[in-house]
Amino acid sequence: MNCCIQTDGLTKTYGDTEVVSSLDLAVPCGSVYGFLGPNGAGKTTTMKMLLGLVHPTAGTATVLGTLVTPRNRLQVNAHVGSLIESPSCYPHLTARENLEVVRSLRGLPKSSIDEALATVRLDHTGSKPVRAFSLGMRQRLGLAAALMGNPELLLLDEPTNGLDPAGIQEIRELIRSLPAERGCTVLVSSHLLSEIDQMSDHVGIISHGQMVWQGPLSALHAQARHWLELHTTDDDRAAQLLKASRTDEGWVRVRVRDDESVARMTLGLAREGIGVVRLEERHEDLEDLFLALTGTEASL
Amino acid sequence: MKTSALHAELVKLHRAPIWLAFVALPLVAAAIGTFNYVSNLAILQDGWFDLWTQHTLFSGMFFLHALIGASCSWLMRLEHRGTNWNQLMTAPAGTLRILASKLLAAWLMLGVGLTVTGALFVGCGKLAGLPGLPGPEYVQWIVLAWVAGLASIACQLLVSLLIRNFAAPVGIAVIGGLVGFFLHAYDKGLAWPYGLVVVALNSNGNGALSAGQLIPFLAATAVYTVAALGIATLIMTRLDVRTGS
Repeated sequence: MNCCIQTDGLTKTYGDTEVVSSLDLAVPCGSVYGFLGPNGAGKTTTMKMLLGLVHPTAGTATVLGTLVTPRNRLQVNAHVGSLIESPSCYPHLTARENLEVVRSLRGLPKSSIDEALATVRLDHTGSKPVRAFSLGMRQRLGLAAALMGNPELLLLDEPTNGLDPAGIQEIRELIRSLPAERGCTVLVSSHLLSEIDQMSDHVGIISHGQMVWQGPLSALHAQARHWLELHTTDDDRAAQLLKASRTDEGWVRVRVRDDESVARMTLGLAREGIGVVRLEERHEDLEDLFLALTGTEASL
Repeated sequence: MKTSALHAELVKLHRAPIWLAFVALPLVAAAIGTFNYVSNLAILQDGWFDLWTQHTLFSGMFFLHALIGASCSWLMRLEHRGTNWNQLMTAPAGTLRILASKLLAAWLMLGVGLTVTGALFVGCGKLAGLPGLPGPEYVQWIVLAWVAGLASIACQLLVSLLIRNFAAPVGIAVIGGLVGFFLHAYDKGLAWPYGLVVVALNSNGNGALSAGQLIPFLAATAVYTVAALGIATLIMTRLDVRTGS
């Protein structure tokens, strides 16, 4: 697997507190990698170390094939767009002027400003200073700044913060489309499992500074346990015959097996004169998995 | 396309409220200086030169350094607020270039402040009824003060990098200017970065910089500027970027 970000034992300690512990992050090129964890898990600190904003206490980070060091930080960052913590902006300037600052710093053509403003739909803001922007508009401006110049890698820290539901959906779709449309790899952090589930194809779950799970999102889904719940004309007997448990709602719960076993089970019940009136497949959802992996609520 | 950290700094100056200070402070200094001059015409009989010393007495001692302090505080506070250091430090522009751009931006701002100071000097002189126009030596003093301002600006950028508050660095700049003024009175103005502007302005009438003094003056300016900028660069490259204030 070709990785655009690879860390090896990345660690950051503040005083006696280890906020990131021996983190081995592997972000495949061309993926949208969801970096998931409760608030304070170490997501932002990790992203700051990848950008050279924070110096690691131990370990290394390789970004776009280059080992990040204070000396080559600029070379690496020339190909990376980022939105870390909250959007950076100068409130007395307009959206266009703010992006002009970014354009100058990154040495991009003038046209990159119009492209970025149109992408996040801020092209109508004219001479309105950013101080008059809503939180959602500022977030869009931060995204526009990160997208300028079509970077090879985007690091987005909770990019949908402050957006309304329509805006959240729009930004999720934009992020999802980036690998295909711009050939960009995206590392996006969130404390919302549902958000990562909708946006990413790879996921890393961090808790108390440690990576507790990492891999394709499909593999995480596959880890979820599956079972069947049924209602019959005689649930007590059915539970007894199938050696199954009962749920609080009275359903008979049986471990899911292959289709053939399910067919044999229903025929067996029929032979005992028990009719199956409801048969539903259930599975553990990602929130349960997240809870099990991190020991916290799915959304904090 | 080439990156331009200086252009980025100049864009940030659009509609900046700090510009008000660049008109207000020289105006106050000129008003006090002119009032002093007009009130003491019996003893101040050297025309334009006496008006100059009255104007720049307050500018050199107090107002110009307040202006330098305010501009540097403002330029650094722009980045201290929110997460702006993240954007600046992830741009493919080196730390020294970023700081040098801020130095040049503040220097241009000081140039505006000194131009206003000069214009007010001429305007107030004419209002006070002085004949003709001041000689070219006054332009030379203003230009030298502008050059000397680089040292004060570099020191103030360092102070404002370390102290994220707006007012405290301005207070430090004013104290620096006062110390510089008194050191100049003992002919030790070059020994203190904030004394160079006072030396250049000849505001206490001790005498303008001679050709022989020019080299040590320029050398001192360069040493203070490079040292302060170097320390600030070292701090920024060695320490983690801290956001929010």
